[in-house]
Amino acid sequence: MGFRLLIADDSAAMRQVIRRVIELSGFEVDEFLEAADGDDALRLLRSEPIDVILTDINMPNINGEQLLCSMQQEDLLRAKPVIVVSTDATEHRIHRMLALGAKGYITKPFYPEALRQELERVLGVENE
Amino acid sequence: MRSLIVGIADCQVSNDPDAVLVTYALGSCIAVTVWDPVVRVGGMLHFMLPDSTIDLPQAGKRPYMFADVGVPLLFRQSYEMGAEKRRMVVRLAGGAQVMDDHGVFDIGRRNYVATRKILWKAGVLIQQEAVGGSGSRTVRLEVGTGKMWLRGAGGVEEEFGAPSRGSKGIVYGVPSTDRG
Amino acid sequence: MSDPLETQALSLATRDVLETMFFIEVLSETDEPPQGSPGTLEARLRFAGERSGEFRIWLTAEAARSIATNFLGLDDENAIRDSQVGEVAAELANIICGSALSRLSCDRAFDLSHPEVGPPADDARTWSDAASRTFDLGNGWLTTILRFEHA
Repeated sequence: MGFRLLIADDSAAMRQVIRRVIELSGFEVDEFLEAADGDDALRLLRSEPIDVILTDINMPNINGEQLLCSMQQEDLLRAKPVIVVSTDATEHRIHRMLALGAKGYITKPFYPEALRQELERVLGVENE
Repeated sequence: MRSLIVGIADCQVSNDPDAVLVTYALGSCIAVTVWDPVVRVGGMLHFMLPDSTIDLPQAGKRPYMFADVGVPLLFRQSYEMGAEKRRMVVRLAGGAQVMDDHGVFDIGRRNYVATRKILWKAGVLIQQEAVGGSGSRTVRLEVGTGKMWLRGAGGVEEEFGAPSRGSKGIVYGVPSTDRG
Repeated sequence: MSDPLETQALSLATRDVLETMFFIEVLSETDEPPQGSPGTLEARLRFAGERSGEFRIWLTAEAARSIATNFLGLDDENAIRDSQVGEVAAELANIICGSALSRLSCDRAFDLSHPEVGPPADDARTWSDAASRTFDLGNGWLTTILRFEHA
């Protein structure tokens, strides 16, 4: 059985690249959901079964940090694993996102294998 | 074990479980290796330059000299032996920063970028790599097992892809997921 | 006069980003932006944090198309829509800006606005205090401009 994954990033091009990496990595994904901002992401999280979230930080309306904050405040969302994919590589931001419960952090620019490795680690799976 | 030597601007593909593909003295050149664990087909390309369009006649005579021609040929020859892209383990070695005959210092890096571009467009991810730096490398691939061995300038041979820090973009020191 | 550290961060960030996710080699770089050419795209965004300011890129048409093709992993430049070229240019600006700011500011986090894409506005040519580098990509040019606002 596969998993359902949400990609939150205001760049349609980056969402396409992330999706391609995950497909090429051999993960069993039942469904890809996409959100262009944190607002959209929250709405999907509250209405759809989602197993793992990949989120950017800088997005319009609600950003990635606010998204994590909101998730922490909701019983049904708190435990869902989040991997941050962001151009912000400052220590300050990284610590903040991890303190807010992010399980992984990838900085842009990244190699595709980085995304595969982080997803394998966070999901506890190994793709042959 | 039977050694199949892959020379400079050369490519070998084998389905002989006793074969070991080996290439020497990878400086700025890159070795691209593929291995299909189901049909046990292994291939190795040793190329020198990124782009054949600079010398098309040469590319016709020595296709394995260039990444853009050699890599697709490596894959095609592997498919002809029954390998499938989605199963293939792909590894890279080489791309060191050395002064070559033309005095061009950055050819290793250019080879690496070109290889990544070709593989990304082909829809292939890289499993392991030992690239960059400044030393020469020798690699060998056991066709029967898929194991790959690396010898650096220091002379010690070790198995390729022994646990490493992983890939560019990962932030380390993130606590592991608690799994009950 | 721009700060040499800012210029260096901009240069390193641009080269690193271009190679890693866009598979583009820089042939050479200069201080001077080229004269405008038809079809040049501009992507611009604002940033805020420890310091605030504006970031822009100018990308000539042919380079923009091959960059987009590479990023998306496609083979055929003609198969890509103009809207996709714009989206990729916007993300290129986003990543370069973030990478440059991350190199300059190890401490405070920063916020980036959603990039806007359109024809180049020439006002940035008059900014004397911006860090600016222009990169020869072989089939075109990329100019990156980073301007911090003064407190």
